[in-house]
Amino acid sequence: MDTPPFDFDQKWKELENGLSLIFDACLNTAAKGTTKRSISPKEWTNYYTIVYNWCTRQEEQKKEELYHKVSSFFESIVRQQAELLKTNRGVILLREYLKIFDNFTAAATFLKNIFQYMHRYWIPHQQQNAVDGKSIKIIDQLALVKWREICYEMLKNAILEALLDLVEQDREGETVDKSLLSNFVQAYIKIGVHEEIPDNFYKQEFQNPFIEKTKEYYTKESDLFHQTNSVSEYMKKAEERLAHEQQTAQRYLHPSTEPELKSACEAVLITRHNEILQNEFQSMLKHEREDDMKRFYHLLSRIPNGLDLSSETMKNFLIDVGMAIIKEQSSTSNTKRALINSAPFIHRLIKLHKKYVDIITKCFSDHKLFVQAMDEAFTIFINKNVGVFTMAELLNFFVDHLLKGNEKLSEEQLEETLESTVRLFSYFDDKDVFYLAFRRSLSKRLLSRKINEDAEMSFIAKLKVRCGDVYTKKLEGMFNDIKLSNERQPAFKEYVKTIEPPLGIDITVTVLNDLYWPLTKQTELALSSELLRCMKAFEDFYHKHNEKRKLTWLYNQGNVTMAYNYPDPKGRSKKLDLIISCMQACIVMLFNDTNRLSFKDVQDQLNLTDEILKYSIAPLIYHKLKLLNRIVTNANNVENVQNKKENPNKETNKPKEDDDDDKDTVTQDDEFEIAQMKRIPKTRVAYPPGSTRMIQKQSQQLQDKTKQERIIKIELALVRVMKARNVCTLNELISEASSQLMKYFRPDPRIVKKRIETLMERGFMKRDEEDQKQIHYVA
Amino acid sequence: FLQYADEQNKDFINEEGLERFFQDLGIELSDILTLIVAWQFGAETFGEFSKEEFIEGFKSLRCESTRDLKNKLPSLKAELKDDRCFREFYQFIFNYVKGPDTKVLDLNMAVELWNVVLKDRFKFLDLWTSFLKERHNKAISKDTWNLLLEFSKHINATMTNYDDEGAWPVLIDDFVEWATPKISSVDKK
Repeated sequence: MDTPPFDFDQKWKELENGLSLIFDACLNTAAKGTTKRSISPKEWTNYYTIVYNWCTRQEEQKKEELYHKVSSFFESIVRQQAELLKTNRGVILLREYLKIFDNFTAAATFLKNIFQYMHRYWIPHQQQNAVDGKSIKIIDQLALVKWREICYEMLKNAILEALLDLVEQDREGETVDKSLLSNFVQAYIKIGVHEEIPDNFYKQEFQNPFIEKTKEYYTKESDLFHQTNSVSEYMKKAEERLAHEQQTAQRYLHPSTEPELKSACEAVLITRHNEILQNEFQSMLKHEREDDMKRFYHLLSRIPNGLDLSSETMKNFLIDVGMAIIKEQSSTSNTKRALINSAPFIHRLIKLHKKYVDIITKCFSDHKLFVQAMDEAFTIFINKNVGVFTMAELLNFFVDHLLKGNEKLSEEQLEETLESTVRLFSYFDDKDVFYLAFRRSLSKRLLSRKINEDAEMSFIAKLKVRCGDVYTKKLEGMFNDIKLSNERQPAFKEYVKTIEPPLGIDITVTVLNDLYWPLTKQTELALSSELLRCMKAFEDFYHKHNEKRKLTWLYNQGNVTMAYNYPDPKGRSKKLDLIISCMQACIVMLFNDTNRLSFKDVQDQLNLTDEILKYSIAPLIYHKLKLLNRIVTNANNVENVQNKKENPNKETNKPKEDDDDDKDTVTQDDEFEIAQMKRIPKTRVAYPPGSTRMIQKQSQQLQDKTKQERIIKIELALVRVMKARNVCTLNELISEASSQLMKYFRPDPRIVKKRIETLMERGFMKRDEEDQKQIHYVA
Repeated sequence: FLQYADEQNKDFINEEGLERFFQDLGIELSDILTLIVAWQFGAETFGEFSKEEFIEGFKSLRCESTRDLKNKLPSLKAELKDDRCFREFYQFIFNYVKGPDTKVLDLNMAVELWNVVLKDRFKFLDLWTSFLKERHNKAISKDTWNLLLEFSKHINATMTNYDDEGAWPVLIDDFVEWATPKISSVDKK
C-alpha cells in the first residue's frame, strides 16, 4: 500500500502549538481580561485531522508516543501553574487555585474533542490489553491526573491549612466566604473522579483532617466552657454548635460528610461530657427546670444509649419522692387520722403522677424509656406498706369519698380524678384486695340510696378498660338488684294498703342477690311487734311471685327514721327526727318503757351479739348530740379511772391520738339511760351506724378473706394450666399460673409451689418418675 | 407357713407370727432386713403376710426352707447397693408402712424408718429430723419421701450446690434455708 509519509515531528509541533494556544487562552483569560485568541473551526479541524492521521498510521509505537507526548505536555503546563501559585497563602491561595483549576479543567475538556479518535480506538485497546493498561487514561482525565500529581501535591498542605483556618474563623464568629469551602469540595471531588471510589480522595485529603480538627477544636472549647459556665449554659452552647455544624455540612460540604461530622461532634460535645450532664439531670428534676430537661433530652437522644442512664436517674428520683409521700402516710398510726388523711394522700400521689406524665410529654417527647421508668417507679412504691391500712384500702376510701360527692368537684374534674385514680390503680399488685374493699363500700353506698349513678358507672367502665372485666359482673349485678327493688316498691306499696289493720310504718325493702353482695347476716335480732308485722307483710308479698327463693333478713343494714319526743330544759315537749340504724332503733325503742337498762338487759331482749351491740350503741353515747348516757358500774373500771389520775406522767407519754380511741368504749358491765337533751336547733339528726373502730377490724377481715380467695384462685389457675399443657416443668407451671393471676394480684411463688404440692397429694397432678422437674396432669 | 400363721385366719401371718418368723431368720425387729424381706415378698400391709405373698416370696427367692432364706439374707442386703434397687425399695417402704387408707405417713414413723433406711446414706439425717420436729410437725407426703432420697444423693457437704429452681418440694427448700446457717457455723468452729 502506498501511504504518504507522515512527518511525526512536524505534526507534533503543530499539535503542540495548538494545545498551547488553547491552554493559554483558557488560563490567561483572567489575567489579561481582554481579547483571547480563540481557535477557528479550520484550525480545529486541522488538529483533529493530525490526530486522526497519526492514529491511523500503522506504526504502533508512534501512537503510544503521541500519548506520552501529550502527557509530558500536560506536565509542563501544570508545573508552570504550580510555580505561579505557590507563593500564595490563605484565602488568596484558595481563590487563585480555584480559578486556575477551573480554567485548566475547562481547557482539558476542550482538548478532549481533538483526541476523539484516540479515545475511540487506541486508548480503549490499550486499557484492555496492554500490561500497564490501567494507567492509560482518556485525555481529560490524563490532564487531571497530571494536575493532581504535580500541582496539587505541591500545594496540598498549604491548601488544607487555609481551608481549616477558614473553618475555624467561621466558628469563632468571624464572617468568612464559605462559598470557597463548597467550591473546594467540588474541586476535590473532581480530582478524585477517576478513582475507583470517587469520594475517597475527598475523604482522605479533606474530610478526615477536617473532622480531626473539628474534634480538637470542640474538645478544647467544651472543656473550657465547663469550667466557667453552668451545665444549663453549656447545653445551650452545645445545641448552638451542633446546629451550626449541621448547617455548614448541609450547605457547603459533600453529603457524605454530614453524618460523620455529626457523630464526631456529638461524641465530643455530648458523650465526652456525659457524666457531668447526667449528674446535673437529677438537680434538673428536683427543681423542675423544664427548658433544661427538654434540651437535655434532645442532646442525649442523639448519642446511643444516652437516655438509658437518665431514665434510670429519673426512676430513682421518682421512687425517692414517692417513698417520702408513702412514709408520711405510713407513720400515722392512729386509725382515725389515717382515714382522714387518705384523701389528701391519694391526691398527692395523683398529682405526682400527673406532673410527671406532663413532664415526660413536654420535655421527653413521650419517649418510651421514660414512660417505662415512671411506670416502674410507681409500681415500686405503690406496692409498699402504708401503715395501718393497705394501699388498696386507702384507695378505696378515696374512691368512696369521691363517689359520695364529698369533694366539691365539677363533673369534668370528677371524671378526670377518677381516671387518674384508675391509672394509679393499674400499678397495683394486689388488685383483688381493692375489689373486695370496693365492693363493700359500694354496697354501703348503694344501700344508702344516695348515689351518683353516672359517676359510679363511669368509674367501673374505666376499671374495665384499664384492668379487664374481671369483677365487673358482680358489680353490675349489684346495681341491677337496686334497680329491681326500686321497680318492685310501688307494687309493694299497693299491697301494703290492703293489709288490715294498717301497718302504720312506711317500709321500703331492698332485695339483694347474695352472689353479688359481700354482706352476711351477722346477728339475730328480736324485732318489736310492729316491725315484725312489716317483715311478714313483705315476705308474703315477695313469695307470691318468687316462691322458691329464700329471704334472709340483714338486720345490721338498713336504717330507720324515728320520731323522738322529748322535753327540753324548759319542760316543753319537743320533737326530733332521729335517723338511725335498724339496730339502734330497736335499742332505743326499749327505752320507751323504761329509763334505764343494763347491757345485759338490752342484749337479752334483743338477742344481739356482744360485738354488734357494742358497735351499734357507741355512737348513741358518744355523738355530740348524746342520746344515751353511759354509766360505768364495774369496780375495776373505777380503779382504772383512779389510776389515770395517779399517773399523769404515764398519760402524757401516750401520744394524744390514743385518747380518741378510748372514746368508743362500751363494756358489758355498763348501764344506759336516756340523756337530757339540750335545745337543739335541728329537726333531724343522723347517727352513724357504728364506731369507726370496726373499720380496723374490717381491715383484718378483709386481709383474711383475701388470703383464702387467693389460695382458691391459685389452685384454679394451676389446674387450668395443667389441663391445657398436660405435661410441663415445675418452674414453667409456676410462671404460667402466675402470669394468669397477675391481673388479680402478684402471687408469692412459695405459696404457688406449696399449692402444687397439695394438688399432687390430692391426686390432681403428679411428678414424673424419672425427671423430678416434670409434672403430669392427672385427669 | 402354717407354723407362723394366725390362729383364726389361716391365710395370714399376723404380727406375732411375723415376730417368730424373723426370730427364726435371726433378724432383729429393728433391722432393715425385716423391711427387705417384706419388700422381696411384695407384702401389702405392714405387719402381716398373706399366704400367697409368703409362698410366692419363697419361690421368687428360690428358697425351700427358712434356713435357705436365712442364708440368702446377706445377698439380699448387698443387692441394695445398687441405686435403682435401693430406690425401688425405698419408695416401697413408704406405701407399705403408711397403709392403704391414708395418703401421708405419720411423722414419727417416718423418722424411725429414715433412721433405719437412710443411715449412712444421708449425711444430714440428724439435722433433717431435728428440723422436722421443730418446724414441720405434720405427716410426710409421698412426694417429700421420694424426693428426700434424691436430695440425699445430690446435696454436697456444705449444701452449696442446692438448686433453687430444681423443683424440690417446699419442705426441702425450707430445710435448706434453715440448715445452711447451722452448717456454716459448724464449719467456722
